[in-house]
Amino acid sequence: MILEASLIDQLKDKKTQETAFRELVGLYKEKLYWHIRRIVINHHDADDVLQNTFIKVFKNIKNFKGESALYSWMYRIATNESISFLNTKAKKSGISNSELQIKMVQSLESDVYFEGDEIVLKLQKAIATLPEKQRIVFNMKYFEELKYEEISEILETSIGALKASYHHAAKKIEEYLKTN
Amino acid sequence: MNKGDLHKKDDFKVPEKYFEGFENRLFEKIHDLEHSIPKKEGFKVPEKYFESFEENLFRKYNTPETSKVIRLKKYKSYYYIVTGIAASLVLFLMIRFFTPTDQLNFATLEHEEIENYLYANESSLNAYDIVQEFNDMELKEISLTDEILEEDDELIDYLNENTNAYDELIEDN
Repeated sequence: MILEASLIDQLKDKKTQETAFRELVGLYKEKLYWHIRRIVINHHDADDVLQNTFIKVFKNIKNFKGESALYSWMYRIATNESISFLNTKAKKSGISNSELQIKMVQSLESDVYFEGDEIVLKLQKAIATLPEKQRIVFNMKYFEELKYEEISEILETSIGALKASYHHAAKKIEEYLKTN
Repeated sequence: MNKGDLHKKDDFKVPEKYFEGFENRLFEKIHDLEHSIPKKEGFKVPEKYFESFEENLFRKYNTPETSKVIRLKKYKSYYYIVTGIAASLVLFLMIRFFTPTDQLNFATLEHEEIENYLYANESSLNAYDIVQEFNDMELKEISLTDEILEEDDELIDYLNENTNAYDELIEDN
């Protein structure tokens, strides 16, 4: 926490901000990348969103009030950037967000940055059928192994609601894997 | 709290050693769930992607954004079409709602309507306009509404209260 406070101070100081920012990027680039990748599916899209996330963090660090942990704040920016990216992509393609999810998962079969077998592909298809919130909560809990308290701070949702979302999502995925 | 208080006597029963084996059964179920859903995702990243990420990020951040040039000509015809449709729609609505079903002329208007019109638009009318408008009407047919009379009373009251003898003298002259 002391380290984080000191890093925030350095990020706000013009003289030290570039070094501090490089340190921040080094610390969080992989975690945030995988968080974004699970939402946007495609590597190139994930790269774009990750870069935009860090640029947004850098531009807005002066407004960061420290009401939440720095990583929660960055995760929140990454989540919002990913969702906005998907909304724009769906709008440009003239399709709904759920149609876009199906389309994105279908394109995984020919994606050079995907090496999943049949069962993994089926899992991605199952995840794509979930509503947006359940999909994000499931990924954060199941793959990123974040605690409910952490997810609650990032998504600004109650722990009870998160548990319900995760439970519904896991049940739907199980059901999908059994029946397909 | 006494442990015995937790379960007051009622007719419900649980299987033998139900609570002793509860944790094991729960963890088995969680284990089953974890195994019924694969943990592998299949995503991979290009080689050395994370190593070169910072450099790419700083290059992108330091590159000044070139502002997009919007070609007006491309949109011109689009705006003409939209404006044309909007104008046609307005014209259609005006014809539809403002064309009276029966032919109207000055004689069909109620006197009160004329009065109200004049009252509302008095600032834009001069004496000549009024004479023109009431050209074919007998003066006795024109009656003033109470509202106007009331306002006249107010005007007289106002003048009584706010003028002094000196002003009146000037007015008289």
